[in-house]
Amino acid sequence: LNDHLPRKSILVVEDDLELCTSIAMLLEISGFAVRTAKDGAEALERVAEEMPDLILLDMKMPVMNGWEFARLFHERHGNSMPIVVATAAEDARKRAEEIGARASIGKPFDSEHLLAVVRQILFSPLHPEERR
Amino acid sequence: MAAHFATPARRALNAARTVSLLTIVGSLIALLAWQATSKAGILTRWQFLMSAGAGLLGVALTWYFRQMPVLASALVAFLCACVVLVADSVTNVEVARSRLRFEPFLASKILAFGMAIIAPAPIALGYLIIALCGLIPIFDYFALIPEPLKSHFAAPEPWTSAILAFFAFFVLAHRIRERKYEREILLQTMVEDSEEGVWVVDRDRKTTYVNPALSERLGYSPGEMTGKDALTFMDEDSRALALKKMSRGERGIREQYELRLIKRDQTVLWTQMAANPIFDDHGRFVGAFAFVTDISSRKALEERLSESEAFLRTIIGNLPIVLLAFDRSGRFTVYDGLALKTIGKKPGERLGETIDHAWGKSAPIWVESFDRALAGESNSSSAEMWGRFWEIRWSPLFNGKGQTITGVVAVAIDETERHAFMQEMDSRRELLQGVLDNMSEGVFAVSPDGMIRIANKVGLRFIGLQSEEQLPFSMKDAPTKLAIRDLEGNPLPPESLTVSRALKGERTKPLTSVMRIPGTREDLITQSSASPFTDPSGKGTSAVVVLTDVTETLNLDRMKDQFIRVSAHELKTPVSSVKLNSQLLPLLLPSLDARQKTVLANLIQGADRIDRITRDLLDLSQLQVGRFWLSKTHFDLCQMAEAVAKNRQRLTTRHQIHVERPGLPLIISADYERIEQVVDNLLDNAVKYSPEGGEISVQLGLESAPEGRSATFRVCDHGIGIASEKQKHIFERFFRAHTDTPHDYGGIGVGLYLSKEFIARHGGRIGFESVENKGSCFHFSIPVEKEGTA
Repeated sequence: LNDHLPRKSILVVEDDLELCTSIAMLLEISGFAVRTAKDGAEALERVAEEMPDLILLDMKMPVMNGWEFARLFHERHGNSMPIVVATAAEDARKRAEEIGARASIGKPFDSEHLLAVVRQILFSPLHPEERR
Repeated sequence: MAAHFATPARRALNAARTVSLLTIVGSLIALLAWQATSKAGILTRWQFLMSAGAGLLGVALTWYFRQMPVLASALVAFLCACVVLVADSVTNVEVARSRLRFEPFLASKILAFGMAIIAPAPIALGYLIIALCGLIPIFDYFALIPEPLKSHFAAPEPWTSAILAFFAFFVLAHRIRERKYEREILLQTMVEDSEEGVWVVDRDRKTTYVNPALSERLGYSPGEMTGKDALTFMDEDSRALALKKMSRGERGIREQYELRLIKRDQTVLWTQMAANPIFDDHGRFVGAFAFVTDISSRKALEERLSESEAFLRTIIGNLPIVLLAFDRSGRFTVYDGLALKTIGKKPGERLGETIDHAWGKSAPIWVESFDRALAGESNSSSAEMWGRFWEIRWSPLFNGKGQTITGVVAVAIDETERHAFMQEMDSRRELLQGVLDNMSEGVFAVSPDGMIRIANKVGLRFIGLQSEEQLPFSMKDAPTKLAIRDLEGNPLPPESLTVSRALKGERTKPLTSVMRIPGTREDLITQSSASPFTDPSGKGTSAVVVLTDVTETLNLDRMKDQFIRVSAHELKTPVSSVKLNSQLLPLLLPSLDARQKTVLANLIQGADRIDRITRDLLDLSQLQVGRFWLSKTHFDLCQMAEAVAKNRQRLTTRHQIHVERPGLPLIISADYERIEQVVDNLLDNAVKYSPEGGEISVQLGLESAPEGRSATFRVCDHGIGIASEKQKHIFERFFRAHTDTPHDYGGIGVGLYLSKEFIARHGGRIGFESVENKGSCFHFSIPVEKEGTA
């Protein structure tokens, strides 16, 4: 359906390797170009190489956590890039707001739910409405 | 002879005249003297007047008979002398009676003497007649006339001188007799007038004399007693005594003794007899006389004293104590009391022994106490003696004036029973104290005025004291001294402490607070509970406070919570992996058959259940440590409930979930996720506990109450219900109504507890109705904000 459009790219930042692979696989199957990073520092490198359309960001990571990454990212690249926070914390939404993320997804999440959120942000640019 | 007589007759007449004149003058002088000394009675005055009258008569007669013969003049002289005699002898007695030193009759005697000097023989004859009568002392003072004067005054005739000498003999004899007579009168007067009784008996005990003082006391006249046996006036005992004493008297022994006499009216007269035997010139016993002193009043006093002493002794003998007294050297002077008899000791048996000797060995403490009392220090001591336990109070014994210590008095009380009781109490108290002191809780007793009066060891440590002596401790100071705070660190006002409320009579729930032991830097988390109790003194409500150090427990709790939180967090990522991969597989393998799809669905459900449990555990620990926030948004409760119901319906085929909702949305301001959790939980329960399936109805609505409108949610099933005895526990943490029953469908028993907590934090209410084997209805309501703001 969207084959004629350029593929949207997503950077998945997640320290758990298995989960990271699974998410990447899901998104690729769903037609996104996916790159991965295992922590905030690596993510900053990936972003510097090539700017994605959306960043799916875990918060608790070794080396550089989500908060630190978001701060540096906003410093260097402005606030236009949509970030979706995927976290195990019970106050996922509160954390999302803290770092100016577009949406948040609590772990564990449904694959459908993840895709719905991602698609809504990427393909409804006029009304980037959050889930609720 | 006649001529011879003529001149003397004249001289006698002249002399008589002179004597009469002198008598008048002397009497008057005497009278004046009597008056002056105020000693004369009316009678004596009469006597002097009589004396003066006699003088006047003498003057008149001598004048009238100036030519009289000798015989006549002698008669006149005789008459004059008689008058003088009467006056003289009467005054003599009077003088003896009144014991006057001044003797007025001396005047008349001098006059009579003068007359005798100058009287001629015929007159002297008259005197002789009078003298022969033996009655008048006329020539008393003859012997006293100086010799030269005698030759001057005396008659020249030798026979007259011989007669005068003869007279003088009589006069001297008379004078001696008179002296004796005077002394007798004096003695008799003394005896008669004496206040002292005088009693004279003869050898046969017959009363020969008794003076009025004694007879009156006995109620007799002296005459009535005279001649009667002295024993008549005594009773049996006295007679025996009197006889004994009299027989001793016969042997010449003089002595004093007390004798009881019987009065005429048969009452008793107590006397002291000073008895003297009387012996005649030949040494024969002829009788006795006694001075009798009335000692009735003394005797009565003595009797009263001895009666009261006897009474006192009776009392002491009947007191259930041992009364002891000692002199300064420690000798027993009193050793009495009923308590002695009850232990088989004889009252008085130790008298005269010293305390050192009697008790020094067995009970040195008594000796010590005695010495202290003797030094003026009242004290008490207790020890065992005679197989009993005694408490003895020792006091110094002062003399009547209260200045010097004359001995020691002691009262011994048998305290055996009380001692045993006290020992029992002591051991009980020690036991209690031991229990209290070995408790790990601090225990305090607080009096109605808010003072800690009693604290156990741990309690003392909590309030920073080393020993009980530092009590009381005022609870008013506690909040500042102990820095009492709530768990967040806010100071707690004194009135909110459990002890303050207990003192008001309230029973309170335990209060958890933070405090600091004075002088340390260590914060303690304590749980205090307090209960009121009525003060034993009846003065109000006291409180017993139990303070438990829960610092470690609470820290353990915190560690546990942290452990749960971390574990739950760590579970989330692998669970996400499981779930995601299970969902990924069908995408990678589109040709999965139904069985393979079921396997994957089960994997997903398992992951969801793990997720659910970890979420519940997280919520629980957050509620527990107070780190729980609501993240409120506005949303439609109906829409959300419908979505949840739809999800649930997908998971079951046996149940039909019907949602009844009003036409309009029910917009509430709440934490979406929490309310969704509650709705899901209630629906989950409805499905789970109606294993037979059937209809599950969900009703949504709007409820009006005075305090505002609320959105209501209600879900009813036709399942197994809840047993009535378990219903009150249904919202408790970890309570599972169906544990170990065929209907145990798993879960950790926190769903309803969390639902209740979530609804309560939204200011709402949750409740249920349930009938066992019929089904349950659970419902909650959440306040709706006013339309304007909704």
